[in-house]
Formats: sequence, structure tokens, C-alpha cells
Amino acid sequence: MDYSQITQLLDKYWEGETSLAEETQLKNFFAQDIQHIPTSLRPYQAHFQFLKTYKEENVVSDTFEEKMMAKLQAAMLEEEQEKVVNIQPTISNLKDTNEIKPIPKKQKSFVRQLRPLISIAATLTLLIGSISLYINYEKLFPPTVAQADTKTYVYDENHETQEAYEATKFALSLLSSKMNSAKKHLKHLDQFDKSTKRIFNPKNKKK
Amino acid sequence: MNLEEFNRAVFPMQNKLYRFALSMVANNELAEDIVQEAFLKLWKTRESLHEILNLEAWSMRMVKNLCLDHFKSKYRKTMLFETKYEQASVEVTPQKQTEITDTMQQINLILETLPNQQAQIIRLRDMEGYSYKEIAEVLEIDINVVKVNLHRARKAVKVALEKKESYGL
Repeated sequence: MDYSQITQLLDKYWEGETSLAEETQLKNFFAQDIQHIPTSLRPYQAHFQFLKTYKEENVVSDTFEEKMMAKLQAAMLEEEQEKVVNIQPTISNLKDTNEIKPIPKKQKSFVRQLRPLISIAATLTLLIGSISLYINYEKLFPPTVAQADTKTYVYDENHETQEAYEATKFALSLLSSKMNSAKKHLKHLDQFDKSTKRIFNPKNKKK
Repeated sequence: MNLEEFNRAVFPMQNKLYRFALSMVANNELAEDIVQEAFLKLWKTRESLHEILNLEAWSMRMVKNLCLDHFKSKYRKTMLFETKYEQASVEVTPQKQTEITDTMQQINLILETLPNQQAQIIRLRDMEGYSYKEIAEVLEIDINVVKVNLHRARKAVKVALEKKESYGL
């Protein structure tokens, strides 16, 4: 047997450059009895033997499939129960006449469709309302009493001042006439003044 | 997809998935549970399974992620050590079995001492016969990373085997 090819393959194997087919070839070679393997290659047989034996020995237990099937069936049952739970409400809905269910659905969708339009309409109403309020403010809210008073006062201003002027004039003339009549009685005070001057002013005495 | 079709697509992968889970969680029962969990997940998505190009690689990745989830939820370090080397065949005669298991355990130890990713890659390649592309898909790494790590892993195995031979172990 040509061992050089195997040796070459083995070197390639340790370098990690063999293909899967070449590796199978090596595995087959080392699978034979140790007597057919040259001594130089014997140390490596254990590795290939290990790979083979480990693979053969480490398999799932006999009960694995049984357990798995039980688990799968349990999962299926669970799924079916979930389906029943999900289906039940739809069946009851179908029984309760078809008219009832679609109407609230449609209403909902209608309101939802209108929602943006409603918001736009509300904004426009607010805008137009505030503008018209601003324009028609005086018409809608007539002037108050205090404002009306000031206005009539302004309107009758000339007349009022005339009246006031007359009244003041009369008051002042009354005051002056009273002052004049009072002043006549004050002439007696001159005599007092003359007499005191004579006493306190010696120059006048000498004269 | 009905149950029969599903079973036909999924059950042939059970041993590969199991071994992969076992290499990660090192507990037979837990590995089986994880594979079953993966199958259940596949069953729940059975309507879209035909869209998956490589169902086996997809399932392997699922198993890997379930194992990682398991470690995230509770990292049972003690259990790892307890059950790591308990896997032995009962079918072989006791005498031959001890011989085999001795060598097997030694080789297994070599793989165990490798960095996690390297061990995974060498198992996927040499045990399950996956292509580089499939390994990259399963482990969610670059194809060049797969090649480099496989090269390193095999070199390490070769060195360990030669060492074992020269020391007559």
C-alpha cells in the first residue's frame, strides 16, 4: 500500500488544508486494524478512532424520540386551544347578527377619518370668529355709561363753559360789591391810624 | 408543514445537535433537554422553516444559543466537573471498554484542554463533517477565523499525540 500519499494527506490535515473528502479518506485509513498501519502513523490513529467512537457512542437516549413526540403533541394541543380561544369571540360575533358589528366599526373609522378635518375646521372657526369679533367690536359692545357721559360733556362743552363763565362772573361781582360795601366801614380805621402815628412818630409831632 | 414532514426534517439531526449540546453543557440529560427545546422552537416556526437555506446549521446555532442561555441563567460549574467524563458506552465488553475509554479519555482530554472555540471547530469539522462555511454559520464567526482556529487546533492535537507517544502514555 502506498503510505506516502497518506503521510502527505496527514501533513496536509495537520495544517488544516484538507478537504472534507480527503479527511474521509484519512478516517477510513485509520479505521482499519492497527496492524495494517505503519508504526510511524500509529500515534495518530487514536485521534481518528476517538472521533469515530465518540460520534458512535454519544447519541440521544432511546427515550428521546418518545419524549420529543410527547412534547410536540403537548405543543400542538396548546396551539389548538389557543386557536379555539381566538376563534370563539369571532363565532359569537357572527351569531349576533352581522349588522351590529360593522356599524360601530364604520363609525370608528368615520370619526377617525374626520379627525384631521375636524381639527382644521375648529382652527378656521376660531380664526374667523376672532377676526369678525375684532371688526364688529363696537357694534357688538355699545359704549358704557361713563363713556357716554364724557361724550355728552364734550358735545355740550361750549354751552357749559358759557354757563360756568356767567356763574363765575356773577359770583365775582357779588363778591366785589360785598367787598366794596365792607370797605366803606373800614374808613374809620384811618382815624386810628392817624392817632397812632402822632404818638409814635415824633417828626410828625414837631410839625 | 405537518408533523410527519417536520419529523422527517428534524429527527435526523438529533444526534449531531445532541453531541454539540453535550460538548457545551457536558450533561447528557441537559443536552437532550436543550435539543428538545430547539425542536420545539423549530416546530413553532414550522411555517417559515422552508425559507431557511441550511436547516442543520440553523438548528446547531439555535442549540448553541440555548446552551449559552442556560449558562447565562445559572452557571453550574460544579455540575460541569461532575459529569464531564461520565459518558461511557455499555455495549462493549468491560475489558475492551476500559482500554478504549482510557485512550478515548486521553484524546478527549486533549480536546478539552484546547481553547473552547478551537475544540468546537475541530468537533464540528472532524466529527460532524461540516464545511468551513457551515462552521462559520453555526458559531457565527468569520470563515477565516474558522480556518485559522482549525489549523491551530489540529497542530495542538498533533503535538499532544506525539508527546503522548514519546512518553509512552
